[in-house]
Amino acid sequence: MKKAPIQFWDYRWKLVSLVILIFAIAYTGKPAAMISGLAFSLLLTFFTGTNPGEAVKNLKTPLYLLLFMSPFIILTPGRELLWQLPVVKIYRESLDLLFTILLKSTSIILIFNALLYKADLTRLMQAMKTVGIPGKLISILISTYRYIFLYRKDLVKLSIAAKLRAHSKRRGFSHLLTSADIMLTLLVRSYEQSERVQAAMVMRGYRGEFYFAEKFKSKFSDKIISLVVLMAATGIILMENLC
Amino acid sequence: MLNIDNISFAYPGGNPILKEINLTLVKGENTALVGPNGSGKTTLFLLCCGILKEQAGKIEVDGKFIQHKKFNSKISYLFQSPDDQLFSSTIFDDVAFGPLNMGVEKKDIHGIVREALKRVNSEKLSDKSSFHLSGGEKRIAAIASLLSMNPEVLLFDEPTANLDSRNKRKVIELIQCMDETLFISSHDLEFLLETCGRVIVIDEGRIVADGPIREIMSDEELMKRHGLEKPHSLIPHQERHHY
Amino acid sequence: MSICLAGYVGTVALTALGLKKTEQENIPAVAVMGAAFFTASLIHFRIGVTSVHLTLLGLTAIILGVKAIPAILAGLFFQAVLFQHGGISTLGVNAMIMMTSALFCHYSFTLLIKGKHNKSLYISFVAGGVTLLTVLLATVMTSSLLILSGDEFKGLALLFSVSNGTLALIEGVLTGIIINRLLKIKPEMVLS
Ligand SMILES: Nc1ncnc2c1ncn2[C@@H]1O[C@H](COP(=O)(O)OP(=O)(O)O)[C@@H](O)[C@H]1O
Ligand SMILES: [Mg+2]
Repeated sequence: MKKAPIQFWDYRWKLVSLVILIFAIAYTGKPAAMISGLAFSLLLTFFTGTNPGEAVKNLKTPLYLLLFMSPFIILTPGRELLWQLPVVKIYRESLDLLFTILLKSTSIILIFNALLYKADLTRLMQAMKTVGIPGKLISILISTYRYIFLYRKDLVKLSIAAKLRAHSKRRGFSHLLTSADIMLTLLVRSYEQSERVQAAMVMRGYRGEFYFAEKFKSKFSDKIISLVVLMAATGIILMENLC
Repeated sequence: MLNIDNISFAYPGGNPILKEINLTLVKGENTALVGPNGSGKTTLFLLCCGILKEQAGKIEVDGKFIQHKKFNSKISYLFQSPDDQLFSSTIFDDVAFGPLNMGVEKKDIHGIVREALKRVNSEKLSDKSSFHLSGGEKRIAAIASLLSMNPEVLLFDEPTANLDSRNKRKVIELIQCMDETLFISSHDLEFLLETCGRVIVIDEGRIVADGPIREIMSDEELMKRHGLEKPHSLIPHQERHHY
Repeated sequence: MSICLAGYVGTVALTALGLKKTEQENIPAVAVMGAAFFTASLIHFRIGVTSVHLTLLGLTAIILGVKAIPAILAGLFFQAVLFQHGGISTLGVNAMIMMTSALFCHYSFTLLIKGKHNKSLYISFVAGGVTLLTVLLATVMTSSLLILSGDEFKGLALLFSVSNGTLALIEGVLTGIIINRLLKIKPEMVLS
């Protein structure tokens, strides 16, 4: 399998520079700055070899959410009337807001995707630890990750078992009760398992801190890519303030 | 090697589970632990590695007393379910977890992990996520995650539970090659016959038999009394068919 | 912008508090339970024609106590990483609101059931009621922040308040039911 350029980028540099870029874009509000933010995140998506299909897939959920919210945004009265349609009035502020949310969330999701695409989560956690995130938090994130998948699998099994017993035919309150029971089973199981997982870790010498096997070695190219990203972030902020 | 001296135990608010247990494991010898469900096999193992605290008595491994919740690298416990033991995102991380906590140098980690995985014939699992492994592979990986710490005593809690015959065979071959001191609980008596020379039978909190495994398991009357069945391979009529 | 920044500052402070109250040896347990809560919050409940899923804020706070804070943070982190919804700029504010509400829930629950550990029906009702209040509190905080950030957010604030008000009721009832059953099968999960 061919490695995409983004996977060679040192995790620490990648993490720090992309997070700064995300915050820079989150800070913007003027059209020019927002559009350049989107343009740069698109560039990042293509130049770093991130799978565009993956990016599109990840964009779907938030865009649906936005679509769902848009009538409420549009119907909110503003000051400057743009169009007077038969029933509704469209205000400039509403369209601005919609446009802002759309641009900013798309760019941020694209960058997030570049950060996480085919990323090794252990390495990412290690990078987070080296840039100063507390060890306890890293420990929690690492163990949470694995068990989320385990419990999602459990949840699927439990739901199938419930469906086989005509769970979905039930209506109203009794449906609610069955779902509550599925939830209860999941929580009780996990409570018992949490004690065992903890024992298993303590028994292998765990004392609240995660140690990592690898060392980070940053290359010159890592710094160059990060420099470009940071320059873009600065540019976006300057545009916001000067235009 | 492992010396259990007059151990008694009850869960908080419960009836006594273990009553005045005395036994000594000989270095390098594999010992089987059998008894009906709920007879306290898992409890005894958890006491041996300090996860539970005994109400009376002492446990000693290689001349050192086991202390409650204190890590002791000489003794390791294989959980009944590998999902309690494997929590990292890759098998490499799981196998490296113990040695890293023990303060092994980073440059030596790769060698140790490779060695441990080689011992269980599963070097190819290194980069896989435990989420994508079969039940048999998970069991083997969990064993490797203990071997990497170089323990002298290994406690295996029902290591063949939920395994098909091919994976069971793998575990048997693995155990036959190990020179550590093994204490194995199981309901699979044929498996124990192939891997252990000595058996300890517990029932209602007490040791009711202790001796050479073939001798004790051939004692139909004793086995029946404690809810166990004489293994087929020890029934003379069937043995003739085999050879 | 200043609200978003305040959100991050608050989140950092609350996380520091939560981590301080979480002993080293409890970390794996918090993580495993946190994962379960996260998964459970994906369960859909059918209400009439629509189906909703719950925040489980009350239940998490009642069972995990102050340790709910790191669990909530981990949940939000993976929600962002695995499903990528929720904006980065509002993540801090969201987290802070959820954490404060969770603390409110935990402290009022322990206060109200003090000395009444054997009255399981009473405890269940308290759990339900406190959860209802907690979700309402979180809703009010979010809506006021939305309105504070500008007039154009008023419509969103309204939508949010109405839908979350209904959700609070459902969430309260369900938490009551679940706590009631837990008291029968695993009381140590609720009363420790
Ligand atoms: N955490 C616990 N709290 C209370 N009782 C327990 C706990 N774990 C096990 N038991 C009880 O202790 C007894 C022995 O259990 P266990 O050691 O798991 O038996 P085995 O492994 O031989 O099947 C059982 O009756 C079980 O119900
Ligand atoms: Mg057992």
